[in-house]
Amino acid sequence: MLSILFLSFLILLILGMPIGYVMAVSATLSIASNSNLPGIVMAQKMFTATDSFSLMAIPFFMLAGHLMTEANITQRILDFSKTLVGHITGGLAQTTVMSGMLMAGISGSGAADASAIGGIMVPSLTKDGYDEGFAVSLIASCAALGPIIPPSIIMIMYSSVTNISVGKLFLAGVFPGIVAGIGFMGISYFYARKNGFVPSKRASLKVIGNGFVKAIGALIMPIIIMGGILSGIFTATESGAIACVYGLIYGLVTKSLTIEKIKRALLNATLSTVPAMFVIAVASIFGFIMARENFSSLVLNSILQISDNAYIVLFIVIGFLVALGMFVDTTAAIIMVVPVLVPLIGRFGYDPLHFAIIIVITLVLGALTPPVGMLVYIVAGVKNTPTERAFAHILPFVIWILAIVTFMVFFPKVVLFIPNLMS
Amino acid sequence: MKKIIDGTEKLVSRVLIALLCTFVSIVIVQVVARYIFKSPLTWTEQTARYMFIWMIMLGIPVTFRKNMNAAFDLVTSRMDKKIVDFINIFNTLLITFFAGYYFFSSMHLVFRSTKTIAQGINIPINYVYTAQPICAVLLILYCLEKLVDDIKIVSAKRVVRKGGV
Amino acid sequence: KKTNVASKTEEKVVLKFGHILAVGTLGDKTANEYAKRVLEESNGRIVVEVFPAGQLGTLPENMEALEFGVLAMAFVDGSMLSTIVPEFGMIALPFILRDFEHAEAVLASDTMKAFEDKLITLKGIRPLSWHQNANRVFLTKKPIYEIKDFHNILVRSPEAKLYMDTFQRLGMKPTPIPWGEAFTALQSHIVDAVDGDPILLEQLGFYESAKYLTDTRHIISTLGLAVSEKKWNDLSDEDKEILSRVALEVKDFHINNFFTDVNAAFEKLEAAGVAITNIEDKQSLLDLFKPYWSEYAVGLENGEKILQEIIDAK
Ligand code: NA
Ligand code: NA
Repeated sequence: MLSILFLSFLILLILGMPIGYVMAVSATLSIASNSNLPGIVMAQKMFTATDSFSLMAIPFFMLAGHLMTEANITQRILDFSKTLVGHITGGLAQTTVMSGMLMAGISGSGAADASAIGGIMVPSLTKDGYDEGFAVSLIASCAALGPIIPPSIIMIMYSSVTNISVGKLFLAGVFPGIVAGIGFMGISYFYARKNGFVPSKRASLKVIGNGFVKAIGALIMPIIIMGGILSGIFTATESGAIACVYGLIYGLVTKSLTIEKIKRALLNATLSTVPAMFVIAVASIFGFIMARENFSSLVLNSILQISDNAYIVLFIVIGFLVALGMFVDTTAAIIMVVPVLVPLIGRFGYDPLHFAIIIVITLVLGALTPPVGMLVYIVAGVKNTPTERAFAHILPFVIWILAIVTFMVFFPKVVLFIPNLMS
Repeated sequence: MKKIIDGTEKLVSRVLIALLCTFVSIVIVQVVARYIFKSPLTWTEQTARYMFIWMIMLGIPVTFRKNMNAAFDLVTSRMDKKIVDFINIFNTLLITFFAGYYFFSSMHLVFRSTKTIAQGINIPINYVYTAQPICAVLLILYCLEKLVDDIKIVSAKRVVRKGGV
Repeated sequence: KKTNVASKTEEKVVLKFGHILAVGTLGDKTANEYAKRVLEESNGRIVVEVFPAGQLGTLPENMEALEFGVLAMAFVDGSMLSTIVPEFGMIALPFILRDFEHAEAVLASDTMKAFEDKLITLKGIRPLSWHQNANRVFLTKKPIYEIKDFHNILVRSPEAKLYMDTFQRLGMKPTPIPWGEAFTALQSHIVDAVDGDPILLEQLGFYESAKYLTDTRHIISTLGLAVSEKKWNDLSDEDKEILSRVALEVKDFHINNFFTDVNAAFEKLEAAGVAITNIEDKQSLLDLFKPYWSEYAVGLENGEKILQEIIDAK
């Protein structure tokens, strides 16, 4: 059954069938060829995967993004950030990373961040002369900070599988998240320098002030969202809906939105949400078949045969997770792997929290790697960027995250410093 | 024929807009009722979620027709165009197979759940489960449309080649 | 169908057992203990493969999976079963199970047997043993001594009518929030209370933002170790006997460890500075909820009779 699943997956992927349908068709072939598995399981899995309130953040932020684009807010943010950081090499890219880190601090979902930042920044960055592929890679990587910097839905899932404290796991994500963000700024700097982005002259205070006034409507939005979540007015998911209302009111007040534009934003928001949700839905069937056929315990048990050395085993596990993450969605991977992994690795004496944060970050990386990289797809969806182009610039970001993971393996004290400080 | 199929897409797109509008509003109402009026509503979250499911299920065929799903085109973009035309037919046939299987799978689920009640708001679960077979039917329709188009492309080229050489 | 009984008994039987409890929890340990003992008792012939933590699906999915034979075994939840056989809702009613002994008596009663038969006929789900699992308590941001202290507290509620009704009756304001967002909702004051299993609330660190625990044990959740009737019918009588007997054995294993774990959780919570209180006037709670029991019973065939049987169970 697994051989049918994997073989058809690879063949159809190479034949250029859309990724969601690759997974759907190969899952169908596997289920249809197995007499022990009733076909009803397909409808059941697809339903449960989409039946999630947290995932509703995706259409919310997609809509907020499209409303802002229609209301021209995007352009104003662009102008303002240029006056602010335009004199730094790669200024707009730096702005993207900074807003990615801020968004990560308020939202728990990488998918939501990808749609929130992507909807606004893909048009801005490309307008500013950045390669569309670089823009997609950069924004997707920034969105990956979402589940690393707390709050984080992925961490909540990890803790529900293993019953580790959510609060501590959140705190463990702060350090690697910030380091990752700083690294992304470095990557942006080198990219901009290599491609001869000429830093503009430092803007005068008056110009900055003008830009600020024009952009203030847009700049208030993150404050409303962050303030609302922190003061307990709404949840991270609900904040997406609030962002929509804000975008709408802003557009109506400034008279930059018409009924036609609102309609277009609504339709575009659904159409950019659906492909991502479809992949999530079919990935759940795919993951179910892999779990049912004991795929991860087969692989992990053979890993443990290779060596008794705790470090070597951990690195092989990380390697396996990176490979798995290439094909399987982060959420599905957590459900599939973690229940098998935690008891197996338990005997090597790793601190469960240390181990947890390493696993979480490694699996989040899977959302950035080709051929199935959810976050890249969501951002690429904004302008329908071809896959090949979207993944062309992802490598430096992936390497930086892997470097952080490696560092974390060897220096648990640094990783656990913040959580230990708090308790 | 084309007109009818275009009509279904237009209709579904309108429904999509209405659904998104409605569930955004419901979530706003939820926040307002809880935070301002201090009386949280118990039906909003689940209702919004079920509309979200409808939106996805109706959106799947539309995004298929509009060709909005990401594909890994590293290999096919380097292939001969004529071969790719045949591969497209092959791919669409398989997607039709999936859609057909999904239809039977979801119909089965609907028929087995005629007495099941959704846990929170007391409505039959089939009010939501039904979205799936509808998704499948539309997907089959658009697959068939695409097959006809794809075959036309291939046969048109054949004719040209025969005439040319 | 095979007619040769001798060859059938030598055949290996593989049973997939899915549950949603986290790795290493008592429920997961019980499932593994079950697999281990069944393997021993059958001399390695019956292999129960345990899939923990929702790997093969959510709770409602697992119930459907048993029905369709996708899964051979699963833990089902007493209150969740009420969506398909409403009678099961009776044992999940708030405060209806008075204490450990009473709950054991109810779970072993003929009344319960009748529910099970209905479940087998209607949905092909056959429970082999019933295990008391979570005794739900409240974590709040202020201390609770009597019912009126509950009034107007915004409480995170699971998305089930039973819980919303229970909280409403206590005067609380139920707010449905997915479990995944419950932790942050409590932290940021979107809600001021959560309810749940004390073991879980301790492990997940919920007490970090709500320092008062009210030991109400308002709902005692029950785990049924269930087998799919489709698979069951394919088994030999010998295998059925082994599976049923071991199910009752691990039920004792579960219970014995259960109280150790609960007490340990309470100790850890107290050590973390959580104040543990209770509602002293137990009768006030019963007075409040008895009408609710009757309300629920009215909707069922022979409801009043069933209710009385449950109350009287010994
Ligand atoms: Na986050
Ligand atoms: Na990937």
